[in-house]
Amino acid sequence: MKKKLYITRAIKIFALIMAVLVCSMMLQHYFLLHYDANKMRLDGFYIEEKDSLDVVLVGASDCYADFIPGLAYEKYGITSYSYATASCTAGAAKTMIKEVMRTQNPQKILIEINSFLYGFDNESRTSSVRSYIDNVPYNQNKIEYLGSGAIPATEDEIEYYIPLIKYHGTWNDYPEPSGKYITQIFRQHTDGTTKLKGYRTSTSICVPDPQYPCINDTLAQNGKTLALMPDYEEKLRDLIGFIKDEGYADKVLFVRMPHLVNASFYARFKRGNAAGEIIKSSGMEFINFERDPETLAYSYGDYYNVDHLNVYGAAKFTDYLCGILTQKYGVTSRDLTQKQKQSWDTAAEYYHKLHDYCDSFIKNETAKTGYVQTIEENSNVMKYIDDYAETGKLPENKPDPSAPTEEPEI
Amino acid sequence: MTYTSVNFIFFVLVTALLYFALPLKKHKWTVLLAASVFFYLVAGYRYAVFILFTAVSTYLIGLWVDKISKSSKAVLKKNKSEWGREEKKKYKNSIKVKKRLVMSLALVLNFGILAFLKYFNFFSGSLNDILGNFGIDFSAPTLALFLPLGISFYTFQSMGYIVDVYREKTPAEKNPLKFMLFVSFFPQIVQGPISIYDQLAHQLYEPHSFDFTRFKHGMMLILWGFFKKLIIADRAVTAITAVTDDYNAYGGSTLLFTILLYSVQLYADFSGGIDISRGVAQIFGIDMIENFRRPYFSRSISEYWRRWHISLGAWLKNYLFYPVAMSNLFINAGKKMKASRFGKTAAGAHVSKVLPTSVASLIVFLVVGIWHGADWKYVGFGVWNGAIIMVSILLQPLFDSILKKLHINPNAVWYSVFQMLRTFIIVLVGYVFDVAPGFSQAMRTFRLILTNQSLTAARAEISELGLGKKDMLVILAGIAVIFIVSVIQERHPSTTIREMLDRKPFLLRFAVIFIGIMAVIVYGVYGSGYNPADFVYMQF
Repeated sequence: MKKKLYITRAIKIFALIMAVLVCSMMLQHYFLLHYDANKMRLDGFYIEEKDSLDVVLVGASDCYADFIPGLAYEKYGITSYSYATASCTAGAAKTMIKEVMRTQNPQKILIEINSFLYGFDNESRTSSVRSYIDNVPYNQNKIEYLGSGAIPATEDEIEYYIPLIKYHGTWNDYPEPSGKYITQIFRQHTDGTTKLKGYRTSTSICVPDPQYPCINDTLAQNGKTLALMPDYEEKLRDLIGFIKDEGYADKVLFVRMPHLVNASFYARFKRGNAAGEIIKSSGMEFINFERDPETLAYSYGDYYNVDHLNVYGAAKFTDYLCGILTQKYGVTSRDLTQKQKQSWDTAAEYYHKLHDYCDSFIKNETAKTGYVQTIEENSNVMKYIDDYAETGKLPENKPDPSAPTEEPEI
Repeated sequence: MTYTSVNFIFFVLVTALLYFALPLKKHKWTVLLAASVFFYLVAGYRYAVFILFTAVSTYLIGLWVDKISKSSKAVLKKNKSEWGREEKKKYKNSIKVKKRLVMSLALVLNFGILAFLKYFNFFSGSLNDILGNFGIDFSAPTLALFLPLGISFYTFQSMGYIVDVYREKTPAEKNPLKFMLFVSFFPQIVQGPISIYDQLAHQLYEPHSFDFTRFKHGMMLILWGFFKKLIIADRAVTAITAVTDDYNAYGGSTLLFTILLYSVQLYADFSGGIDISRGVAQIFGIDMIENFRRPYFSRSISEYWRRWHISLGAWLKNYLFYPVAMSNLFINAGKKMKASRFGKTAAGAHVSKVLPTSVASLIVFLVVGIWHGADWKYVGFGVWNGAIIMVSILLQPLFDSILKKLHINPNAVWYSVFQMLRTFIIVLVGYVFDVAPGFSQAMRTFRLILTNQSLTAARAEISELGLGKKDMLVILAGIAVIFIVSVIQERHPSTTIREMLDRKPFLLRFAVIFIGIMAVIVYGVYGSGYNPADFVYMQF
């Protein structure tokens, strides 16, 4: 009799614990998390079919703002994705490479070196750390990263393993801003693909700042250097050592994306040169688009701010970079399955839709009212783009203000 | 390691496992002692010297007082036939004085430490202010003092014990480690309740076997505490802190809103914490005294203080109120008044009868005020509550006659509701002293609440306090849950909600507990994304 009682109790307790655990896991993975464009982009990367990408860009915001995968596919047949998050830390680069190689086997991995050029400690900025690692699924690479001392001292380690502790309060974000992501994320999972392939931009045109004039016309031959901060230099050398040890040296290409350099960013430009010297001296390839005459010729009209190209500039740069990748580094298009082809055709189609929408928005809305819209893969924006393609009309109300839903990119 | 941390839950479960697994039944209490010492050292090892001093000094003095009592009894027994009544009385008095002196040593030492740590800077600052007003250039020093965790609680509890030993209500504890456990029992060290030795000690020392129902009820009580603390109190505290951080920037309506919110936050915080403490103790088979009994349903301020922080009220009643009210000074004053011409009148007879009680109440509440903090605003808080009680005792016949003249049935439901609201407003007035940063700001608050009401301004100000509409909704829903539970408890005082749930079908029980846990997980304020407030009474 007693035995039966104990068994009944055990079952009841087990049922309660399981119900709480299952419910908590569902909340943690689908509802109570920090939704933003970084989450969407990385989630989109992981739903790409295994070994289906030719090129992967790794780094910070420069990657996803300056390169348009849909266009790269349309013009060159190259399948690509920006495995990048805003203000990504230098310490994350190694894990990013591991994750790319775990899920894909690209012909080229482009590492954008912005993360190593900061003149301050970006590594302990919670938002910079979390914008990447929070969105990586549980696996050995994530655990190794968390165990490598990457967690800011102010943070509780357990919250990285059980994000619900950190993000349980995000129920407050519904219906906006999280709502616009959650419907989209379910959609991209049911579709098995994303439409923008992680691309994100802004309907803005960079305005010259008379206080800080652009000095791009003086940079092509400017090889001045400024030492990287010791921690960043150590991380860069460590990354290079890792790439060589793992036999990825031929696969990896370090790049510095184009920027509008002015006096306040000159130190970063010189650090870019210094990083380039370290990379080259280790026998690795490096292309500095901050000193490339072709990209230095981009005007203010090609940028949405001094650090990021807008849809016009990104189109030029994507074309230019793909030319280099195919001609100099022999990147070729691959045979795609019907499903993959369909996915990339959709990406190309959406590039055009997005381009036309942005073009119209910039000319008819931003230029007239100053209102700027962030263009990223969320249900609101995708609806505007679809509506514009169908009706030729921009949204009448402006429910998706330019206020960033993620940490400002630095 | 706060009571609402994951670490604490883990710590409790490990302690429970060790406690129930220990085969040496007689020594199970040592697990509780070890856990209590560990808990206290983790909280801050530098505090340990103070609690150790209190435990050791109280233990030794308790033995001393007990020894005097026992030896005096032996002497009386020995001389039973030889001594006359007068001799016995004289001897008894001499022993009483001796015992009182020894007991006073414990009181002076321990209350001395408490007073020094808690009030030195207050008195020093006040002295400087007073002398400054007279143009005297004198500067009493202020010291960088810290308050050991739970010092008020363990000091009051220990001193209650020493008085009980003095009164021979309880024998002195012989085992110093057992006594240490009584002083430092970890579920109550942070914020009470202040237990009486007779009620708690034997439960601590007795071996308890694992009882599933007690375990379940304990866990449910902890969950209820988490609900109150994490969902309501720690959410509401954001707005309250925003106001107190910039107190002078707000108008009367916002201040009134803050006081109302504070009444919710304080109750949810303090009673939630006590529920966690009692729930943890219950897991170990120990019943700690109830500290709250739906205080906002009180129909008078006296009743409120019998329902709010019950253990402090009981302590003050036993160890301060009765000694003062029953002292020769007070009894003689009452008698003198009764014998006077005023005492012969009807009003005089009443006043002379209740005067000792009412003045003793005022003194008790003065102490309550000072106990709450070293600031004149807390003196104001004590005086307000004491004065209301004093006046209500003195004017009781007048109130009764008014009711009679107006033909009001004091047992009518509407009148009970009116009394509850009236009491709640009196309590809110007291809370103004609590919330305001100082006495003068408290006075300003009263003025603003009465003269500066603006809904438009309040709407704008309240929207900036860090509480969104959804947070407000959560708080309101939480209040509704507490209200419903309180009504049920009020209607069925002889049983608990948990016992009532036990009689319900499994699915309903399961649903209630499941929803409770999920509500705390989702709506609780915890984790590094927040700055969870410490328990309000943690540093008392």
